[in-house]
Amino acid sequence: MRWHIIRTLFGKEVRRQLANRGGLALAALLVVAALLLSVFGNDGGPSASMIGDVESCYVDYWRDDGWVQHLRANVPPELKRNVTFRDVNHLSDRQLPGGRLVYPRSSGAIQMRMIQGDDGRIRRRICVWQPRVGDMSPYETWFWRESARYFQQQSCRNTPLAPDGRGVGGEGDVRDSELYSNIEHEHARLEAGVDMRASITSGLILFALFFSCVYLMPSLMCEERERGILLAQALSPASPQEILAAKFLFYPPAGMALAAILAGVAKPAVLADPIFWLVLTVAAFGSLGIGLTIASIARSQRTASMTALCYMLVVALLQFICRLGNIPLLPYLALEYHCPRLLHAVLTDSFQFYYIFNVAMAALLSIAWAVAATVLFRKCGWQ
Amino acid sequence: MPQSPAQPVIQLEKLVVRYGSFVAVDGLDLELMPGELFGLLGPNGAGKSSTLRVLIGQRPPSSGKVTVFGKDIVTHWAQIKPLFGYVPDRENHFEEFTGRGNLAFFAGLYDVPTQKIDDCLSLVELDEAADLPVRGYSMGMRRKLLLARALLHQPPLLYLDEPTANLDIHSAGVVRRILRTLVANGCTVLLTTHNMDEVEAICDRVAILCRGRLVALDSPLALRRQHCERKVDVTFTSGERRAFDLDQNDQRSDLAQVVQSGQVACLQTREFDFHETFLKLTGTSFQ
Repeated sequence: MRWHIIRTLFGKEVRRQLANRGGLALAALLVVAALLLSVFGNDGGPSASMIGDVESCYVDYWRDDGWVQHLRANVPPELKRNVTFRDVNHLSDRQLPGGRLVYPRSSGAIQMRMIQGDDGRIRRRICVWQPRVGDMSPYETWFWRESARYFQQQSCRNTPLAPDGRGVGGEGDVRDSELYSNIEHEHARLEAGVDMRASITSGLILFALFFSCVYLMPSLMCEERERGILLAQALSPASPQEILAAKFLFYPPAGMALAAILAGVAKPAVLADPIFWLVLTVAAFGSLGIGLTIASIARSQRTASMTALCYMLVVALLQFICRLGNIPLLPYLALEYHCPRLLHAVLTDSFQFYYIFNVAMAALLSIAWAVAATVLFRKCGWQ
Repeated sequence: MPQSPAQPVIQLEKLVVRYGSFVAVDGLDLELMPGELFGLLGPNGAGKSSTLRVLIGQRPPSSGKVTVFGKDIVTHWAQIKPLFGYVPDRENHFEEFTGRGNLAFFAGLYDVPTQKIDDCLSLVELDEAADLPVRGYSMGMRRKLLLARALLHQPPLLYLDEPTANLDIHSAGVVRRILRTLVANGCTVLLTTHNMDEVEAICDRVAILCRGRLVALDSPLALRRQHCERKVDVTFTSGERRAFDLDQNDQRSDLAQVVQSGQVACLQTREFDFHETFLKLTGTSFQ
């Protein structure tokens, strides 16, 4: 790597972008949109669907009986990461501010309450807390399916019932088949589920990265190749690695700078959050890999633009179909599944430990895209 | 110069270039000596562009050996790359940059001083238009800018693909003068062209390719001697035209009779016609 060559190639990218009025106008529009959102957007606001279903489900119970144990033992693999069982009696004061159960953003809860009726009999009340109607449907489906299975098994056992409602088999062993017929079920809405403003800001940030790395870079690179300018550079002392390095040094930082401006306008404090920068770096690196792959495959500027657009549409459609059909694992293979969630969590200060999984997956996908892009570019991209 | 004068600058040995089953260059042997202006001629599909693609590293030879300045083009490509300049057949500038901006970019890559940019611009007579965006340049100006770009780093070897295409007579003359000056200073030039007059006027040696094979290789003067055509074109007062071959007795007698009859409006000797020679050698036609 020679500095004078990198500097010259980098300067060329800067000058080309400064001459690209359409690109500058779109970047300015994004900033204006972020400003409008910042000025007129209400904090919290109605829930939005950009981030998708609730990220996590708390199953809060007041007694650890056979029903809870059955549920705990039968969480399906695709929900295992998202479901947390909590004994409310053992929650700390921090988890119960003011004696109230408080749930983080993008989460829902199934509360298995025990209530005593006027006749002295113990009944169950299942309260499903969700940000929006239908958000908890995968968890509810699982909950009621497994509950029904549990009570079917219990009814076969025909355990005699003690007067206090406890089974004679021991503490906590309830004659649940009878209880099942006395279950009350209600839905309640959690306040401030998914933050609309944070969702839109996440979308703008991702679009800024997409615009810089997946649209602009392949488009201009294919234009250079189509018109023979890339060949002229390749015939100069610049090596393919140096040509690549200059693009790596320009497009992701340019996208990140625009994204940081958008995030800063929406929530200035986020700029001091190292996790925000980590997520942004991972997303930018992944976008660069996608962009370079498109640039290496596409033969013309028009093909590159169309491919970038198609990529965005296909990924969005796949995510939508996977959500509708509750298709497991497949969405995890898209960078566009992890990054919006991470950005939303960072922007709403609800970054939880389990988001590390999303960070790791996003990083892995970014590396995979970057490797594929580098191999393709070395093979056929510069000619 | 990276090579002693006795050694060939470019050496092609049994060069074969294949595109699938199609053989574009079929066992080409060629040597270019230092300070030579070499013309590569041939009809479309003769293998000129494929040969040039190999020389500029765009395509590896299917078989055979290519050395430039004594170095193998495949194994020593990185060392060969800075030693040549290349003028492609179609312009490839940054449209949004000025002429000077375009040269400044490549000057940065070659790490040459900025003064050299002005020198090259004035050499190709583009100094007045240097600060205009290239999108406003005419085709001729764009081609001259390509030549200026190729000369920025003062390469000892220059490849030119149709260097005077789309140039007016004056600009074509300027380019030819520059090429002759370069050659006089020791630069080796390889050009491909369809312009026979240009080849005849400036090339030291000419290779004519047809269907990937070499059909003639010599200086234009030697080709003139070999393929001399002693013909006379006669235009009659009626407007009719006829060619008489002086090497055939009957046609010579016919010519004498025609001249004596007083029906001749114009008479022109045709000793050597590069176009005809080219067509004869390549067995094809421009039509």
